[in-house]
Amino acid sequence: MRNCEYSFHRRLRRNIFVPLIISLLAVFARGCTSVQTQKAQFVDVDKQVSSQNFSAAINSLEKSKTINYSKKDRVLYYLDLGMLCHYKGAYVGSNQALTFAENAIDELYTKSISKGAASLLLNDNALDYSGEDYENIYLNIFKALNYANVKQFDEAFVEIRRADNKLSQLEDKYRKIADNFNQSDDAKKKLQAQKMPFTNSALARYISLLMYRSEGKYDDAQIDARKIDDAWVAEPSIYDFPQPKLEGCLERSTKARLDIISFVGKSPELFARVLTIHTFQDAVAIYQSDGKNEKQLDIISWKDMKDGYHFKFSLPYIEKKGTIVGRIAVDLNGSEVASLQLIECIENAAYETYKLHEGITYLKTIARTIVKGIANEKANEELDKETGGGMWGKLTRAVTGAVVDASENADLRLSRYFPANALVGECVINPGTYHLVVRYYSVDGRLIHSDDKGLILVAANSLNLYESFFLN
Amino acid sequence: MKYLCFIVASFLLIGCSSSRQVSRVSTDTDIDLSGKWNDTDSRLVAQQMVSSLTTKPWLEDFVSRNSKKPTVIVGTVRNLSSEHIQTDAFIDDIERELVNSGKVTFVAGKKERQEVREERLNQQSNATEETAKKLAAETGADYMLQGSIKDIVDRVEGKEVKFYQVDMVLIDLQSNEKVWMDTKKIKKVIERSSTSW
Repeated sequence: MRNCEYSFHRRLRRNIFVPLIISLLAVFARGCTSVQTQKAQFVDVDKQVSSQNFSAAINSLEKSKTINYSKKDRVLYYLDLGMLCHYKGAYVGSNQALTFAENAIDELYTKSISKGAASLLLNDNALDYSGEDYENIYLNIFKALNYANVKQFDEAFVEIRRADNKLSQLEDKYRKIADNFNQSDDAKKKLQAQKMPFTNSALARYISLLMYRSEGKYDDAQIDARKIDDAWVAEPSIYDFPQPKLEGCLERSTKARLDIISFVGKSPELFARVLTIHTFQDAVAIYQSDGKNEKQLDIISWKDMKDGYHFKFSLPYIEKKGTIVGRIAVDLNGSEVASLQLIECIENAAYETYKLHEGITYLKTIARTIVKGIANEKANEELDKETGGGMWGKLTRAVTGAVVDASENADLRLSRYFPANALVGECVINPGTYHLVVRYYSVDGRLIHSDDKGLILVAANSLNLYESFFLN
Repeated sequence: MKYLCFIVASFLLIGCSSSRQVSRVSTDTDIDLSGKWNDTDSRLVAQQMVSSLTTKPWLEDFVSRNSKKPTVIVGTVRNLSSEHIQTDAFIDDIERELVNSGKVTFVAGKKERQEVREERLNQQSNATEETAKKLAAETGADYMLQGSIKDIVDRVEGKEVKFYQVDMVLIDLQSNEKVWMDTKKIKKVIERSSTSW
């Protein structure tokens, strides 16, 4: 009898305390960076970026490194640091940070088994952030600009080629991911490999064109000009705005050319939406609630699924942030000489490439939520059988259920300081010294920012490239 | 409980320990870590290029025509690859192999020449007349060696194939005639451990 009582208490301890301890650990873990995306560090940095104080923004970001970033977030940290250094004009520091980010993305190209298991137990926040495709491409384009700004054209061309290589590998990457997923046990629904919307960057080609032209290589510059035209034909979802008029940019001239590239707006951001899963015999249905009614979004055939389970999960979605800038004018010696034209909508590229893996994230998150939810239900059913339910049963069921729901945080990590848009413009002028001001106007025509570059020297047969930023 | 403490302590110790081992190796040992262009590629390509350059008919033709060794200068080797390659180090390898071959006379390149000229100019006002070197008495090169490094990268999942192509050409400085051309190719397969879900 005593043995039996001892055995019962041992089982009770194992069945109650083990789930409880796991639950408490999970609740504890929920507060830390491993399962939840941290955004607190951006409050100060955003303000400083908004007011063009990039040195202060870099300081704030560096101070937050040990508090808000762990090793798994190193790609994010170095992307943000690299971009802020670029805006500050610290080209060496920018290249260093962006190279750290690129190397880390390269290392994380393949997923580690142990981190995959952590993701299955918790959520994607537990994984190393391996960078979005658009981040991996634009980091090379900004590195190219860093090198171009210090007239290291060979190094800048290396970066343009790297961006180009990555773009050409994207389609293959997603086809392979879709094939792998469809062959895996998680494939309850077939994933269709989508057509790659982004295969060629007009901004990268434009930078390349400027460098080739300044070296007198007009044939190579002509190839870049053709590739810019191709972008508007082959990538309508990215280049959904009028093509900039670049005629005259390949004409040989004894005059000097002043080139301005301006970056405006904010990077897209990820937000979470909460969805519900209701299970049926051999199927699961996904619902979204507006607080009053539930709307069915999807139904997935799921062999051997039982009726009556209900789980919550949260999914990330991407939202463009755009810009408040309506027009950008270039003033030389107090007179307006040009308006800049949109050449690249970086947020379109971010949005479209993010959409490519949204389907995989969706199906993977559903699979993980169901596996975790059912395991928890089964554990609680076992516990009820052994303890006869009662208060302990209800308590553990409530706690573990809440923890399972809470552990499903959407992974909202995304770099913060890539701009939304890139605009370009060129003035063909006599060589000499000029006072350059780049003026930013709102959509309703109000002057909202003036970037005074002071006196600049513009030389013939040389690249006279100036960048301007207004990240609002 | 004791076992539990032991296991926890072991994990903590493993987690805290860090070690770095440094071992010296011969500089001509082939070591490939990342699969990128490295010192071994530079050295091997330089050796093969100079071996090809010094055994082709142009050299014999020049010697029989002029009864002297040709004078060669190394020009630019452009990096047209998608990798940051120190072309200066590759040029150094080429220059060393050329000098050591003993089959050509070799003159300093653009950057070195500039410094030497400045020194010679400086000697005109600061050195004694007997020791100051003459102006406009340099040995003019007969040929210039130029080249480029290109690459093609193919990558699927954890496997990457890198193909480097080094092209070099020897140009007659008088006639612009290309008297020798060669290509060396390197192909590398880089495999990374991968897992898919």
